[in-house]
Amino acid sequence: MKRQSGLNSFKKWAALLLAAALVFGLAGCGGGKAENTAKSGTGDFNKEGLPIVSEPVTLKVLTMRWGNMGDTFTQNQWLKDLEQQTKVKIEWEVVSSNDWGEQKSIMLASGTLPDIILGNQTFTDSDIVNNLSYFRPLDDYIDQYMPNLKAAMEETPELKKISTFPDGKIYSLPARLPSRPKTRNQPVINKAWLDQLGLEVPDNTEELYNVLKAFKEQDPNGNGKQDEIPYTETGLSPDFLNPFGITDTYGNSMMVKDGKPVFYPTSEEYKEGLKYANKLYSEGLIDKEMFTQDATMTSAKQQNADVPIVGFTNQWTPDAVFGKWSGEYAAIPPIAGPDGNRYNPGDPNGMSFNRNEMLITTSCKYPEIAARWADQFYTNEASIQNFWGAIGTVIQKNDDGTYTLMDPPAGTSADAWYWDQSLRDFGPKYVSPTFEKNIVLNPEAGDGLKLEIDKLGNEYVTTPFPNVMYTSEEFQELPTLTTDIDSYVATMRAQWVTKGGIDESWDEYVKQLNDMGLEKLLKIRTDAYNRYMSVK
Amino acid sequence: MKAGYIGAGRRYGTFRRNWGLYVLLLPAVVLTLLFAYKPMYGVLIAFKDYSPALGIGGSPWAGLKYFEKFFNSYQFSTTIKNTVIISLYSLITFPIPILLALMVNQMRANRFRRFFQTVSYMPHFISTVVMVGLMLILLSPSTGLVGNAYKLFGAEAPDLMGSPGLFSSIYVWSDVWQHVGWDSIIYIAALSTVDPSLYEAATVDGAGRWHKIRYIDIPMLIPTAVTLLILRVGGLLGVGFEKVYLMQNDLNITSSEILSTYVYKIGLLSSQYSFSSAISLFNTVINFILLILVNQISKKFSENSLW
Amino acid sequence: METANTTLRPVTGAIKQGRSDKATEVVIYGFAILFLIVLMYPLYFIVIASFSDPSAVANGKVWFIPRGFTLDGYKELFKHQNIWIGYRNTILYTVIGTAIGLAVNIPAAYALSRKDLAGRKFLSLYFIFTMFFSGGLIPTFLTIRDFHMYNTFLVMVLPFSVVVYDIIVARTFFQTSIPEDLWEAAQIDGCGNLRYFVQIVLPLSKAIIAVLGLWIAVGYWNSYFNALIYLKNPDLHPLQLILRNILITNQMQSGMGTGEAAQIALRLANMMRYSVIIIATVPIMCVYPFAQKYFNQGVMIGAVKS
Repeated sequence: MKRQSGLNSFKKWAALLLAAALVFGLAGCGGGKAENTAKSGTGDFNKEGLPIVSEPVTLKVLTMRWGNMGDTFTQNQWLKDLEQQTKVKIEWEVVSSNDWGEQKSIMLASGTLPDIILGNQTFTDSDIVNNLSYFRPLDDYIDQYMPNLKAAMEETPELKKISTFPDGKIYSLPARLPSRPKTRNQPVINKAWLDQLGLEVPDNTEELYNVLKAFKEQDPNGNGKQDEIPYTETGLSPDFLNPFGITDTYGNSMMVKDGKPVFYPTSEEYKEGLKYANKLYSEGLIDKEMFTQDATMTSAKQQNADVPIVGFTNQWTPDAVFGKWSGEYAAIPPIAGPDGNRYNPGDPNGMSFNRNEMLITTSCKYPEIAARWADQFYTNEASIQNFWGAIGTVIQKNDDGTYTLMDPPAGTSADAWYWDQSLRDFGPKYVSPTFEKNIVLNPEAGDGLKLEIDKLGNEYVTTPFPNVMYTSEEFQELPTLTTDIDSYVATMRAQWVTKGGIDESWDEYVKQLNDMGLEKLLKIRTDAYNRYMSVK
Repeated sequence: MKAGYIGAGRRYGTFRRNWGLYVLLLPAVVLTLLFAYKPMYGVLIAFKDYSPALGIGGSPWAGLKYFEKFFNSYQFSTTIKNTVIISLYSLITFPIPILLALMVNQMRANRFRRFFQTVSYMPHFISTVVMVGLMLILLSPSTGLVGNAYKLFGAEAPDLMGSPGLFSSIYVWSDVWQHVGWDSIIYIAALSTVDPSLYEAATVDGAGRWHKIRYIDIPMLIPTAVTLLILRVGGLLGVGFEKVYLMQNDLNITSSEILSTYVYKIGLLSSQYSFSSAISLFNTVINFILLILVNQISKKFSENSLW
Repeated sequence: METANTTLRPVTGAIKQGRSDKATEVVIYGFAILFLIVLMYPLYFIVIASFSDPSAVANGKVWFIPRGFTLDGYKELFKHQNIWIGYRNTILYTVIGTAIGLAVNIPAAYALSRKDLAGRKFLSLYFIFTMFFSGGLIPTFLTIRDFHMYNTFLVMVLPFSVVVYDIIVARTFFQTSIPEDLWEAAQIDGCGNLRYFVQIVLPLSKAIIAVLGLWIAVGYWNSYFNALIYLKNPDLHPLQLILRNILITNQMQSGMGTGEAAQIALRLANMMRYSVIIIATVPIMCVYPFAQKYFNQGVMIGAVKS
């Protein structure tokens, strides 16, 4: 394969050969036919009230769970009661995220879909958009059979915004989770080390630099060794650049500035942030192995056996990642940047909205039954029980109208217990902002702690590039564009942080990105953004 | 023409005489037909805008669109180059299992020999994930074996995993470490079929150890070695994705992005059935052509041929 | 067996070669021992790591003896009762799959090794072509489903039992180790192809049967992908699929979830990382000595010939 002139003819030649290769194996052409899934009779559908059907009807529901969490959530008392009250029997099909990627493409190809798909990780935007004929548009059903959701959409228009597809129809149902913060990750520091060295909580980037330097040099863990790692992560997280005005809430390298979508890796702020990171790296304040280690090594450093060795990081809450040292760590307000401002990733509307929480397939024979069944999830009490666990098992309903969470059984963490007892992050839900005030959480751990530390940063939360939706044409272009561009951005970022030289190669970098099709990517994202904003 | 006619007649004769051989072939032929050839219409996906909902037959034709997209893609030449470099590098290590087999064959202490063999094949069973995790721990510049070794001399350890120039070496030699014992099994088995009387005759003729290796052992291994080599060349673009993917990081990506990892990443974002089939079909065709070429060369020079 | 084996090996008798032979011996064993150390250390590391505190392992504190000795990795693993079902299934798949694999591939390889097989070239290409071109996952799945093999025991041992690579290797082996005049002689005795294959070829080919058997068995033992695609019923799942599900923890989107459960899952996975290897591989490694017996001993073709 020679360069230049050879390459073009090589491409043609290769294409020809491929065509020739096709002469083989043109045997039969297949493709699955949809099969019926719903069982039993018509069921005498009731348009209002319970039960939904007079005669029991069975619906198949597919949902994905993380790792080996299993299907214990189906024992949730609320779900059991629902089955009794509605006479809609649910046959759960629970798949694991480990296997789902492969199984999904087979399920789509074979056309054997269940009646209902539940959970926003089961089918993603592109799965739905590329196979629209498998799913029912739900606008009419919402109108006729889903009074709870309809009311919720009127109260919180965001719900409709996120679930409207590019063709203007709603194919998937949204969720608003209860008691969610506005901030995403927040700066977390080893408070015990600060006290040990008699230092103040760092307020700006200059002070942060001094604190990290002190962590490195003054042996705050007191074991006589210079084994402290002031800052570590698996790869440089964009969170580290927050003080410079870079926030990346949904991990897409996009921000919104003055109402316009911006690709931040080509911005001046980004450049300044990386210069700062390079300065810290070259002085050993950032883990030397940051770009090569895997999650296991990062986690082992955070939970080092004899003494804590990590000083500073950005986390959802300080208690999750540090194991037995979590008591030493505390969240702090956002670090001010060189411009004196503070920025925190998150969403001013709250990190509480998801779409694709429920889909009704065209294989479903009783879409109106499915819709009425789904609507039962959109009440306040149903939603909290599907987020934490049933009232009486996990949630305690108090006489004064408030709700508190019970303690998990000994040896189980609260979060793991909720995952065991409920649909948790997945499935349709709506908790109204007014009802939320009645939920009282323990401010010392998990969801309650997050809400507590949220107060440190929520006034600095920036408007993120929203979770927009793309058309199937756009989905054809996006993967190659983002794979090339993201990987190049990550490579250069790693190089600039570890070796410096950003000023010299910056222009070349921007040019390279444009050659890779950055403008096209921006156009696709801007179009999608405009569509998103225009939904009323 | 005439000769051909006679040939055909004779062939029919052997066909009748050797019917037993076709009986032996039958199960493999039938299974291959049903489970390899029958689904082969799937290659059409590469030439269509495949959507699962429409099926392979129902999806619209895309022609060579996806091939052009790949050939024009920004990463095309880099991924091909990286794949070929890694592949050729590992091809160089091809004789190592042969040397190991020859060495094992020279061991006369039976217990030791068996112990050696057993140990040498054990690393083969370590899963890729753990293997790469192990490499990260051992090669860590701050806490790993390498890091500690440098510390002894008071020097700063190099970041091996973060160096693009070393990526192929680390990949290939860790592979050798993991699979050399396993790969030598077939050669050891081939050596076991050497007629012992050959060794005895050679000893009587006054041949030394090296002579016996050179004139008895190595010729015995050549057909197997050539066959495996041909197959290996036929897998040139087929460097597996898992290990490379796990070893990748932002610092070494310039030399660690290969065809299979690139396809995987694109598929992760959204299932690109047609695009990834097109890439893998390209891959396959190149490999198949290479196989035919190498087989032709081998036929000419060593009389070994796959067909 | 052992003594017979050693006597077949060349006798070092000639005085002239004594010294250089000794030197060669030293080189061979010296090199072998060095090689053993390089090979064994990481294996030893895995064993001690399986008894150590996972964070000490990942932080590079475990090198020669376990640190923070613990059996938690094993305890946690054995909490999953379904690994016993997995063991049972994997053993069944391996034993039956290997038997079918040998029965399909060895005869085919032998037939293809015969130069007087009419259509040999076509048949070889027929197989080799499938090493390169395949219809891909989706059409193969549809085919399996059309044969009603989805979610059955059979799908794990039959459809993918033809391994072309193995056929080619075995064919080469037959070509080099079975002399052609043996067939000529058998024919004169009125022996047909099938009887010749069973009574003469197979007994002479224990070495390649052992190698192929080992390859196929290890392949079945380690495979999980077919199970992932073609099996739905958890009672049919093989060990590797179950272990994979125990071990792999997908990063939940931290930031959207609270992440604590994810952290716990990651910690458990790190804890079991090394014990899983021990549990999963020790049984199959026990098979090796049995196979080894067959390819370490010289085959007495000379005896058959005379």
